[in-house]
Amino acid sequence: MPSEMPSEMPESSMTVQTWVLPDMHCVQCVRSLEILPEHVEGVWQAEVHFPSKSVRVAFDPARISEDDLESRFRAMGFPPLPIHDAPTSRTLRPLIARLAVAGFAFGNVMMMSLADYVGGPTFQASGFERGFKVWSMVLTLPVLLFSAAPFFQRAWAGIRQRSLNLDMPVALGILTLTAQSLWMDGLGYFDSLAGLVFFLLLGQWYQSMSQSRLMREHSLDEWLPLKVTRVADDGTAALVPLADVDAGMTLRLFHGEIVPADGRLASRDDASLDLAFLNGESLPKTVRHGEPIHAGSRNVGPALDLVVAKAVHQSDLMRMWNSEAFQKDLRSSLLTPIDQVAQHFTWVVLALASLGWLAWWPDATMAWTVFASVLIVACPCALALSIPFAYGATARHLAARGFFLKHTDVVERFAQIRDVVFDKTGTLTTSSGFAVQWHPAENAEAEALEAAVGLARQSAHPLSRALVTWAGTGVASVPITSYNERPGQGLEGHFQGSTWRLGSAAFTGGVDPRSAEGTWVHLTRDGQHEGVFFLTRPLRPDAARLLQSLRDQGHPLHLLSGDGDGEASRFAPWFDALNMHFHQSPQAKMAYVARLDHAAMVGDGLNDAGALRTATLGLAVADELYAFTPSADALVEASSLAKLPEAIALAAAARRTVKLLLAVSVAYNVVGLGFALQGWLTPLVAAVLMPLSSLTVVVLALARAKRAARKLTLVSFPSHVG
Amino acid sequence: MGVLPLLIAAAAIVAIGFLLGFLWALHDGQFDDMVTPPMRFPSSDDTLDP
Repeated sequence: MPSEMPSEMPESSMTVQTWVLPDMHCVQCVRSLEILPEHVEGVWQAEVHFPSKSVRVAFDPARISEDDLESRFRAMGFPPLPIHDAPTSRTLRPLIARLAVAGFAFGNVMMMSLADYVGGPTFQASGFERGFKVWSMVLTLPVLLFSAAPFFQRAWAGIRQRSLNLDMPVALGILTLTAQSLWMDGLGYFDSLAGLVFFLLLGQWYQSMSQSRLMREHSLDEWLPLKVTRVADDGTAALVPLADVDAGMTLRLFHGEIVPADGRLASRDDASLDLAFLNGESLPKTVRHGEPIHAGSRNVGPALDLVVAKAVHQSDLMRMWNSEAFQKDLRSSLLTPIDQVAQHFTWVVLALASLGWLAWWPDATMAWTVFASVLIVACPCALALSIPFAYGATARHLAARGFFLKHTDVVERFAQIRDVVFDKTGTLTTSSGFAVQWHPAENAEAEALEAAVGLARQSAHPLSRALVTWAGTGVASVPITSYNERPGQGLEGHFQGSTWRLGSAAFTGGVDPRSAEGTWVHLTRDGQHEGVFFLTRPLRPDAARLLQSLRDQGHPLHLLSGDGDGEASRFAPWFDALNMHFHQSPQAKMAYVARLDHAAMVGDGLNDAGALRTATLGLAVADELYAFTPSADALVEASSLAKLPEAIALAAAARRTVKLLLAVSVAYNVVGLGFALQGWLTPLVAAVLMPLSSLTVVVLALARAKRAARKLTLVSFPSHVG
Repeated sequence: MGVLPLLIAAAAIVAIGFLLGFLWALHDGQFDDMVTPPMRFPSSDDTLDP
């Protein structure tokens, strides 16, 4: 289904659409698709997600239509499916049909060949040989024309794109076997040929089956742990999981929050929305009562109410999360060498096959057998499978622990973490459960408290939420105009003809009274001091244990906070004094994180989006608030944050698994090539071994991820008790 | 031995018949969902009760 783009968008806008290409099965396919922008006008970017066999294309609909793109995929040998049609058995039908025909031919040709294998000279003298060979050829013909067709198509598409892909050696191997069998005396290798195609297809079928199972589990279990404020008919607001949001509900979105679903503005006042995530437009757009608002816009004005028109789709959220605007260089550092190897791989294999042919030459039968088996044994399918399966399985184990990753490659980032940077509010301290004290100035205006709470009602900042919770219904709701929020500093707005400011001492021009373990929030009216709030936040119950175990594991810890340094002494046991920084603006946080090489930034997502994006791993903590931050790499439920050391260890184990699997598949290829060159490996044996090596990699990846997960649970259990 | 070609032809016809039967069933969608149909069975029982 095409993604619905708002009609108001300019003509030159970009559409992002995902297609599933079930025939994608090798490293080279990835490359041939990702270089699409170089060949096709109107295509900006093409990104392949191998585990789901999908390709995400950013293109200009004015210059190239979806139909054109689809026919292009078809020409390349990848008939596409739209994203919402995730691979099911239905999409596997052509593959199963090819498999059935190849299996049928394999069995029946083998019956002919058995006569030769068992009877030997008796059979050759019987006069049946010629008839048996003709019948074998007839049976093998549909294998060549139908079952093996995709290999030829993709190899040909590769040649036309002037790049040799990994189907090339396989296609050449099949052709060599055919020519050799027709040429030689006796029954030929038609049994090997049909068997080869059968086992190759069997391997693809297994891979597709396990991938579609992984994808189904993915889509069922992994609802992001996000909540959003829902306004009930009686006006009361409550948090509901995003998964439960349905058409017709009214949602309240605070300043800085991202609209999760399409809808219409229900508030009387105009709303100000930033569409940068949707179309790159940096100027905010004003939306009037009743006008449509699109999912993915960010509220840059006061809190707004929205009537939902369409239920939230996880796939839409994931698309937004993975959108171009928030991409880091996500390519795993281990994947890159594979890509490079794949480039030269086909040439090396062709050269090796030719050398083997030359070495055996006077013996034509052996020369051609060696040539064909080298080509076939060399397919690095296992190599291509190792990362998707190892990281995919680990991503699922992480999700079971409350860590939700944007992409399976984020596992790699988890494994690289050295420094851990915490944003204090909402991560180490709770964002609710504050103790609030109000100290009005001696000559304060009567409505000062109403103005302060009115400002706080527009904001999603934890301090603002705390003030609103504290005020409850005891403070009357007042209209605030010209609302503005300065991240890391405070709030500003007009009320009764005056400009009110609520925020830090620096922002309001106030002075923090000396006191430990608390935060001061100042209120001014036209620069005049009106009063001050004193808020103290309890640490999360498991924060001490989290910090202690991270320290024990040797991770340097850093603390960044936009608040004053009143609480520094509380954190002294875990953080070096040099690594604690207060009064930090979002820009300062971002610059600080950028200086660290392998840092994880743990933040609440609203006030440190920049830092989350800059860090090697941006970890957004989802608490009581709907704080969906596309710039984060992973989301964690606040209650699960204490499992961070466990998650890092799990990712490190996954990285070790990938290295092991790479070694296994390279070793397999080297050994296989060695056998093939010496002529000990018939093409049929090579075709059996190849799916076997893929299977080894898959089973190893899943088993090791599971074992690591179980071991960690056992180890960390006593510390839960203690 | 003259019967051998005849037997092979007969075997081939039977085998091709099964292959075509399988391809028809595949195309008909009989292998699309191997999980749900068995789960449907108990609920269709309900309609038997008067």
